Amino acid sequence: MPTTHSSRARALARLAATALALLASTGCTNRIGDLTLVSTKNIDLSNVSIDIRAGKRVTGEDCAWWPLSIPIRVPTLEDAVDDALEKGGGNLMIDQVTWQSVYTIVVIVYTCVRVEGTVLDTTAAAKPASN
Amino acid sequence: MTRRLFAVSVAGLLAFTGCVARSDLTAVSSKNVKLDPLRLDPSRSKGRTSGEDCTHIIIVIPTGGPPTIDEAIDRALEDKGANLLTDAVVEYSYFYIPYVYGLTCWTAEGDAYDTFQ
Repeated sequence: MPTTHSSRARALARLAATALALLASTGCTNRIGDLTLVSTKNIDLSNVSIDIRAGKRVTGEDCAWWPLSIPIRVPTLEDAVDDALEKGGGNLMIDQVTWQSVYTIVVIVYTCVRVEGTVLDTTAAAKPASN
Repeated sequence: MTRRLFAVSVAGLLAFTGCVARSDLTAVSSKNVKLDPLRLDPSRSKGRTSGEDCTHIIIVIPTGGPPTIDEAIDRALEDKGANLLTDAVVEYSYFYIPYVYGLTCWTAEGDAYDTFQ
């Protein structure tokens, strides 16, 4: 009988710890920027002609875990835009939206910068048409 | 009393958090930009400009909504009557001394151009 009591107490303690962890978990996402144009790549801006219909909608992100809430590395807009440009195979992003998220699970923090925008390749537009 | 004050000061310093995240962007804008065609002449640069959007945290109460990137860029552009920044640096900075004071900011700096000129 004592074994049953102790195993029940342990199960209850585990349940209480899980409930406490869930209650101590918080998170939020903020829309922190609307940019008409952004790039992290080298672009020749002296003569660019862009057909925005050639672009595609792409999402990029940069995320980091902070154990014990210690900010080891802070996600950046630059890395999120880089990720989106590389996924979209372009060098310029237009009609871009930026979100910043922070989720806390007791003492562990997960934070992200997410971007979404239309990715274009200005070098493709500059290339002469092949015969 | 002195020992208690010392303990509170040490705890406050240990709980102090802050960080800066820097992003280097080749071009950025929060305004309408003429893209077809876009012809930037470096000699027509309006010079280096900067802008920031900040929110103070007094005790635990923020003085406004979260600061935004586009507001920082808007302020930098409006300072020079421009609509595009090149060679831009966008920085997010944050510090907070728990239950005392905090400051969170987005700052933008870059070479200003007006693409409609």
